[in-house]
Parts: sequence; C-alpha cells; structure tokens
Amino acid sequence: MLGGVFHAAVLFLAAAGLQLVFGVQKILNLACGSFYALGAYFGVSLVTWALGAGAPPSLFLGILILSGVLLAAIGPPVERLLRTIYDRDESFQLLLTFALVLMFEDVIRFFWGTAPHQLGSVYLIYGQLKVGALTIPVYNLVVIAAGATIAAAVGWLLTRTRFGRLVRAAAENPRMAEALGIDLPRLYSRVFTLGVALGTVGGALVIPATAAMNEMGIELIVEAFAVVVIGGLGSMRGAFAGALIVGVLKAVAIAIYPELEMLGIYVIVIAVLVLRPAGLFARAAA
Amino acid sequence: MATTRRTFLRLLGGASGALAARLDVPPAFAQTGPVKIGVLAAKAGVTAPVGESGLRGTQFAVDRINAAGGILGRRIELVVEEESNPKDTVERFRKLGLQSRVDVITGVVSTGVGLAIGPVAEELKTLWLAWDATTQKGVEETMPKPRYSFRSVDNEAEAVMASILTAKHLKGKIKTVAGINNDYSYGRDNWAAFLAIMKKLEMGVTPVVDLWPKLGETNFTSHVAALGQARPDLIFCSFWSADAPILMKQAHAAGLTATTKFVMTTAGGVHESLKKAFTPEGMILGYNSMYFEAPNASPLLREFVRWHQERFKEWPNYESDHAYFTLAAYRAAVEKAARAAGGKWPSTDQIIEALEGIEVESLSGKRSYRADHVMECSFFQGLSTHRNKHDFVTIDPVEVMSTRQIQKPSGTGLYEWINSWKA
Amino acid sequence: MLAVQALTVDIRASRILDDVRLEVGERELVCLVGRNGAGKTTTLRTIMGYLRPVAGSITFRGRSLVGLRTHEIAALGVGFSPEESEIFGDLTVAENIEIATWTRTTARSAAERVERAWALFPELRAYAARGGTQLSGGERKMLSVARALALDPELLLLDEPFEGLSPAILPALSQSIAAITRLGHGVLLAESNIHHVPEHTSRLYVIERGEIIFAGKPQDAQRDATVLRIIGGTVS
Repeated sequence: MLGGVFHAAVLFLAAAGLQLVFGVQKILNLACGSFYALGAYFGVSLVTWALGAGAPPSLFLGILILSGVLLAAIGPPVERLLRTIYDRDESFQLLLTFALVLMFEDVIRFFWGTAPHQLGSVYLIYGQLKVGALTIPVYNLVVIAAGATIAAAVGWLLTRTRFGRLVRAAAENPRMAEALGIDLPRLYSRVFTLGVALGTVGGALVIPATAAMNEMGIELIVEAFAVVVIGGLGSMRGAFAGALIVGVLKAVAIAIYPELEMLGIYVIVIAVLVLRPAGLFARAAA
Repeated sequence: MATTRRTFLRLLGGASGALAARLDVPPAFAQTGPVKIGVLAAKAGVTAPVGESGLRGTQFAVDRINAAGGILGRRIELVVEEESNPKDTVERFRKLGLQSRVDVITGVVSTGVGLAIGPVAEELKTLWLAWDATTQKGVEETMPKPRYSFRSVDNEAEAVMASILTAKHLKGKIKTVAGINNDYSYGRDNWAAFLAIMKKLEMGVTPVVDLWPKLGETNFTSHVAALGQARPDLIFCSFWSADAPILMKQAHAAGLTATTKFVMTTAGGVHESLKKAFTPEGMILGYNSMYFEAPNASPLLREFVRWHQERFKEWPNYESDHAYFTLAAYRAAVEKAARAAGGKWPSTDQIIEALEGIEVESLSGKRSYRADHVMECSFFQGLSTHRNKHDFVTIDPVEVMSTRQIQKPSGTGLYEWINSWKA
Repeated sequence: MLAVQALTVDIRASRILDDVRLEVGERELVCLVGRNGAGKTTTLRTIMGYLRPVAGSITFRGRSLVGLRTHEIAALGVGFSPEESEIFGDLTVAENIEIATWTRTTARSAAERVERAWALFPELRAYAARGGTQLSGGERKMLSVARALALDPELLLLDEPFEGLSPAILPALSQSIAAITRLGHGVLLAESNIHHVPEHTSRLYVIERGEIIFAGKPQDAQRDATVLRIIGGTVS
C-alpha cells in the first residue's frame, strides 16, 4: 500500500507537468517523460558532485530538489521550439514531442552513456521506520510528503495567486486573455517551465530509491497517460487522484495477483473511457 | 567521332558482360584486403550496456589480432550496426551480408532478435556467431539444426548452476521460496528451471509468491512489499540489468536483506552497481561466463581487465568474453581450415566445419563450440562478499562449473535432462 | 485618437474588408452599423491585432497598430468586449474584472479602476464571488464590458453589446455606455440594429459587404435611403 503511495507521489509530479502544459497550451507533451529521466540523471550527477565536494550527505534531499529546479532552465528553449506547432494538428504535436523524447534519449546517452547511474548509499540516510513487521525507509515518506506538498503548492498557485488566475484565464480562452493584456508567449514559457520543473524534480526525487536509466522516461509516459486518462486531461485534481489510483492499484495487484498488475490499471482506464470519457475530473486546470 | 550503333552495342555488351561476371563471383571473399566482420550491437534500451560490453570485447580482440598480423595476414575491419527490434535488425543483417559483403557477422543479445536472424543467416548462407540470444523457447523450433548460425550457451545455464549452489549451501535451511523475474521468456524459463531443480534435488521448498515485473521497471517498492508479506526464506531473481541494483536497494531499505537469502543468477553482469551499502554478503551471485577477479585468472584475462579499466574506468563483465570468443574462434577456424586447404583462404563451408568442435583460449579460459553449434564454457558464481577493495560486492569463494555440467546436452530438452539427473 | 485608413482584410483568400476608413476621437461614441456578416466584427478584430490587413493602416494616438501583438495593443490602451462576451467561466466575476488591472498599469489605481467597473454595473457586485459560468447572458455582456473598462483603456471596442439582451436592460446598458465616454474613454461600438444606436452617438458608419457606405450623423443616416434599405427594417 505504502509502496503504491510512494509510486503515486512520483507519478503525480510527472503527470502534473503533463496536465499543466496540456491544460494551458493544449499540447500533449510526450517529452514530460524525458524531463523526468533527465531530472534523474542530473540529480545523480549533482548530488555525487556535491558530496564529493564535501557537502554533508543529509543535505542531499535539498540538492536533489535544487537540481530539478536548475534543470528546469531547459524549459524556455524547448517551449520556444514547441511554439511552432501550437496551432497544428495534434498528430504533429505528438510527432514533434516524440522526436524530443528520442533526442533527449540521445542527449542522455551523450552525457551519461548507456550504463545506468545510481546514488550509492544516500537512500537510507534518513533511517528506516519499523511499524510492526514492516520496515519503511523514511526517505519514501519524505518523497510522499514532498509530492503532497508540491500538489498543495501547485493548487495554491493556480487558485490563489495572480499568476494562477492569469494561467487559468489563458487556459480557458487564450485569445481573450491576450485582449486583456496577457503576454501569452511569456506566460506559456513560464507555465511550460513549471511543467518541466515538476518532471525534473520528480525524476530527481525518485533517484535515491532507484537508478537512472534511459528507458525510465518512456516507462513513465505510459503510466502518466493512464493517470491522465483516469483523472481527466488537463485537470490537476485529476492528476492527483489518477496517480493515487494507479499507484495503489498497482501495489494491491502485485500483492494479491501479480499477473494482473497492468491489466488492472488498464481495466480502470477502459472503464473510465467508456463510462466517463472526459475522466473523473473533467475541468480545465485548477 | 559519333558512337556508331555497333560500338554502342559493344559497349552495352561489354557492360552487361562485366555485370554478369560480377554476379558470377560467388558471394565469397576477395582473398586480399581486410577481413570484414559485421557486428550487431545494441545501442539503446535495456540491452545497450550489454551491447556496449560486447563491443568492448570485440575491440580488444580485433586490436590483438590485428597487432599480431591479422587473420592469415588480412587485417580485420569492423562494420558495426545496431541491434534494435527484430525487423530492423534483420534488415541490417541483410545489409551487412549483401551490401557490405562481410565475411562473418557476430553479435546480438536479445533472443527475440536472434530468432528472427537465424533463418535469414541460413537463407543468405552468411556465417553468424551469436554473442547471446539463446533462451529455451523457440530456439529449438526456429533453428533446429542451424548450419550458418553458431549459438551462445543456453541462457538457463546460470539458473541451473545457481540452483545447484542453492542446494549445496542452503539445503535444509530454507522452506519457502519466492521468485521475482522479468516477465518474458528468460525470466519465466529461469524460474521454471529453478523450481524443477529444487524438486529434483529434493529441497522440500514451497514457492510462496512469484512476481513478474516487466523488463525496464524501475520501481519495486510494491513488489518488495509483496515479498515482505510473503516472508520467504529465499528470493530467486534472474535480473541482469539496472533493475538488479534497484531491487536490492529497495529490498534492503525495506529490511528484507536482513531476514531473507537471495539468489541473483545473473546480476554479476551489472556487478559494479551492486554497492555494498545495500547488497548483503552471502548472496548467491552469478557472473555468467566470466568473472573479472577470478583467483586463477589467465594472463589474457588480467590484460583485458587492465585494458578495460584504463580505458573505461570500469570492471568488465561477461558479454565482452562472449564477443571475444566469437572472434578468437573465427580466427582459429579460418587458420585451421586454411591449413587443411593448403594455405588458401577457406570457403564458408570449410570454416563452418573447422568451427564445429573448435576450442580456443578466451578471456575466461578455454571455450569451445560443440558440433551442434552451441558454446561450451565455464560459469562463475559464488557467495557475495564485502571483503574487497571495491565499493561493490564480489564473490568469495568463486565456484566454477563447466557447461558440460550445467547445460543440457545436444538433443535433449531442458526438463527431460534435469529429470534424468541422478539424485 | 483612432484612425483607420483604407483597411483591406482577406480571410482565406476572400475579401472581407475593402478600403474601410473610420475615425474615433477623444470621448467620442462612434457606431459601426451593418448587417450580420457585413464586416463589423472583422473590423474590430483587425484593430485588436487578431487579423492582419493586406493593406491600409490603423493608427492609435499616432502609433501604428498593424503588426503589433494583441496584448501589446491592449497594453497601449485599447479595451475589447467581444460579441460572445467571452468571460472566463473558470474565474469569479471579481477575478474577471481584476485581471486587466494586473496586466496594465495606468494613472488610476487598481482599486479605483475596479470600483469604476462596479459602479457602472452595480447589479454585478452581488455576484462578485460567483463563477463566470453562473451568469445569465445579459450579466455576461455587462461583465465583459466592465472587464474591458477595468483595463482603463483610452479606447473601448464593444462588439454588439446589446445583442440578445432583454429589452428591459437595454436602456441601462445604453446609459452605462454613455457614462463610459463621460469617464474619458472613446468608444467604438459595432451594432446590427440601427434602432439600438444610442442617442448621444457622435458619428455613425454603415458598413455593407466590407465597405463603408455611409459616414455621418445618426440623424442623417435615418434619412438616407440606401442606409434604410439595408438596415432600416432589420430587427436582430
């Protein structure tokens, strides 16, 4: 169960990036998986470097989050590239963002090679928690808490701040938003960068518990899509609920009948598509 | 000055004659110039590190052979192509054979790709020495009696050896076992072989749970939770890629390594990632067919390990040896066949005959091809230890078993063979 | 303040506006009247920068608007209330109005600008916290005008503000528009029904098939035979 929630927390971050960008720019950005993978690799490198330079190991969590935020600097140039296809057919968008996925795979191969990268031993720095017969790494709880905090922060940003209201206005009616003086290109660039940051931070946060592999991006896209179909495209609350459903369902399936792991998730996906095609939370951003 | 009809016809005739002459030449080999060797190596995906390891072994072999004057005086020239999905890889195989006109093709890691290439090698009459790509299912059916393909060792050999070691070290000490293996033929076959051997060796163990994460999964927290609930005495796992350290790390974090024994049949392929911080001692760990710190390592292995470490800052794994062996065997076979043919460069058929039963020194020691085109070599496994100069585990003691002992002999099925063991 | 000269606009290779000329001076209420499809909305949308003319010029306070992006035109002080209201259903009524005060700063404080918008349509105030989707059609129209006004624009473009409203609230809206000019804003109002043209209209243009066929005082338009034939009897 808790394993599922851990998975859900990571899944949420990546899916939230996908949702945000879709909600505002109406771009189905497959490259969200690449940002996740890049975040993982960059996180490994930055933490390894920082620890090598004498940073106290207990700070690694902060360094990981920082690495995700720094890496989000790739957001504006990537958004600049995607801008050329905002008005094109969805298939063009999918093609271009898929091309980005492949390009980022090569970028990773170029900088980090084909071998998986991992962070040796920081995973258990925060200790383990014993609950009855269960041993839980505290770091898993930290990631869950971070996921929940970021969910709350993004929710607050979108509903309670000026920036969030402008974003929602632009998401709903970009032409009208422009007529009220909203600089769409700048807003898009910021929103996209925020989306990138959610992915890169997600990738960085998961890395102590796993290893950075080039395939993790594609792997994640597949699950993130299940999440957004269940939750409803473009909806933050949907991403949250969808990630929880997918994560927990996966954990339960593995515990009870492992063969059904994937089947279970896609049964739900299909059920949602048939019964509530727009997803459980079918509202634009918020 | 004008080209008359006659000269034109003559030109045409000459051209077509030349063309016909070219086509007449058997797709054999200019006997001068370099020997062209095609290599199919994975560059992307889960198998990329394995392909990379094979390429390193290939490079080392080629450097050595060329430094020693090549094969019968011909230098080796590599034509490297990517192994990806079966369809594209078959196309590249054809391209290597027909367009690049290579003398021999080595490589291929994935069984799925290998199964697709087998029939094409026969069709093109192109010699193919596989690095790996040999799980049980399908190989017998697709390539019953291959002529142009030479196969690797059976992929289950490591499970067989690990199972025998499980019996040796843990008989009477374990009652329940759990499996976590990738959800494809390799993972499934390994788990089945393990259970069959547990039964045959009268281990008296009950399987309590078997988990099948797909290849490339990076989060095992839920699997680990399921394993924790089942509380088996032993966990059997045939992971061979980055998922091996991830599983260990997450199992360790959940306290599983303290209470449960582990068998990792193939994780030696990613040995450097099995950090001491989360990998326990006393785990049965398989290195497949080459162990970089073998206590009685040959000078050749020492040289390779040193070369590899200097060049890549990494300690090598088995796939380098599979690749090295294919080239060393090819060279030896060409030389042997040439001697029989009076010093001339031999035909493909002559090389095939020479390859059957050939034995050469490879990185890990003596390796050979059986008459049925299957490799024979030694396997290295042992109990993991933290007593070494690295930050990752190694094995001590190192157990060595020949494939004569752990690979089904020619002409029998795996389970038929296991059941024929004398208790 | 606004001068449109020889404006020619094509949409998908067919001519929609041909040689349109019109002017709006300070504090003027100018009406652009024409049947549906005559080119009123296209004129306003071209001024707002949504469409690019093939020929002609649009100058606002001496500055050419052609080629500027819509948000830059808004920032220069051109407010727009579109035909379909296009209020943000995802935001509250109050947020709809406040938006414009975040994107453009003027001599007036944000609070004052919002207050002026409320003052113009006092009935909206009761719904301040409601979501935009919960409003009736008339309320949306009012909110759309109030929102454009909160930009504190020098020029306000209103596209059919009276369309589809119950006759009961027409006089109030008409009053409010008059009030807008008194507040110091110029207004260009597009309308399909000549009877809806407010009394205090300074100048009236009639557009037909993309061409201006009449320019002058409203009273003169009422007497012009061509104008009457085209729009005189229409009730939209």
